[in-house]
Amino acid sequence: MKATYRRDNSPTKRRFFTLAALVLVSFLVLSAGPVRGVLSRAVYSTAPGLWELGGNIEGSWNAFWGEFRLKRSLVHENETLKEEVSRMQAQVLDRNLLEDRVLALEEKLGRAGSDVRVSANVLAGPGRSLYDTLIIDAGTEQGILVGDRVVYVGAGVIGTVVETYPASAKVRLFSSPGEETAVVIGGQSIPAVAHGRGMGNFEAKVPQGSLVAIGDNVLIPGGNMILGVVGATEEKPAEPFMHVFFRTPFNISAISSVEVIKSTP
Amino acid sequence: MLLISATLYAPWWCVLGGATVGAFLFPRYYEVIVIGVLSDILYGISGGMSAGFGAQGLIAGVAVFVVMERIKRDLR
Repeated sequence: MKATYRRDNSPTKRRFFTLAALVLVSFLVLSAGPVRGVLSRAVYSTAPGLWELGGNIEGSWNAFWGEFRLKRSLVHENETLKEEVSRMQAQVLDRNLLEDRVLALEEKLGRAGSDVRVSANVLAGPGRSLYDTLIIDAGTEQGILVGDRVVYVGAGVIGTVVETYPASAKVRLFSSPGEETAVVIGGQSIPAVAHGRGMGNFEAKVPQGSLVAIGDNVLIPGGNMILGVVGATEEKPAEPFMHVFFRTPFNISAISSVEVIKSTP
Repeated sequence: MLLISATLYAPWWCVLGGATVGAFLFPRYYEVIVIGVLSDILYGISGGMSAGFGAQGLIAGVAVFVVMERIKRDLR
């Protein structure tokens, strides 16, 4: 005689229902705007302080280990840095001269730019999550609003503010996957739409035969702000478009401070 | 606590690795889903499919939980 045993699957069912309930509640929390807003505000009341503390500990740790570095490597590093500083000083002089000329021309044309900028430190960069976002240590207390543009070293535009908290803000980078930005490419100012590809990379399509070369600047129209530099182009005879691949002129995951251009009310 | 600290200070792949190990070692490790939601709240932005509907962390957390539970069941 063959005996059959009924498998008791009640713990499995219970586990499945617990998981389903947890996922459902989590999804509702994330998709319902007001609930997510309340949770975000609660989290952001503590998180910026923790990030700052982490940054301070990291700085102290680096300073501590710096004491043990070999003298020779420090001397070499010092020489390299001196060279770099002198090169950058020369570039800054050149840039200041150009800036003066541009301002003088803008004044003559009656279009003098006078944007108000707020400096902010980066608390968490895009490498911390799958999202291409930055968390900065300036918020509504510094007058920052949703939609304000964020730039790096004066002219490299990187994103817009999407969420604000009293002492911090969340910035969506233009290179976020799915993000589309109107740009002009190269010396001929060819208009195109840049599609974000993550971590400071972009792709745009321009008509075949357009004069786009590697090293051309990609600008945001009307603002004289650099979005990136063309790194590669790809043309296929069967397609009417040329693919232009470009990236920000700096390593976006290594930036430590930015400027927020306050929008005029 | 270790995973929460990793969410705040470490790259996302460290958190994913830690969560996978945790889900393998501990039974019914629902914390992995909570960590995913925390990651979405901290860094997430609402958006379409390309932004994972603002729930990339939740999706990753559920995936890790389900896959690791399946692997553990098969190894038993």
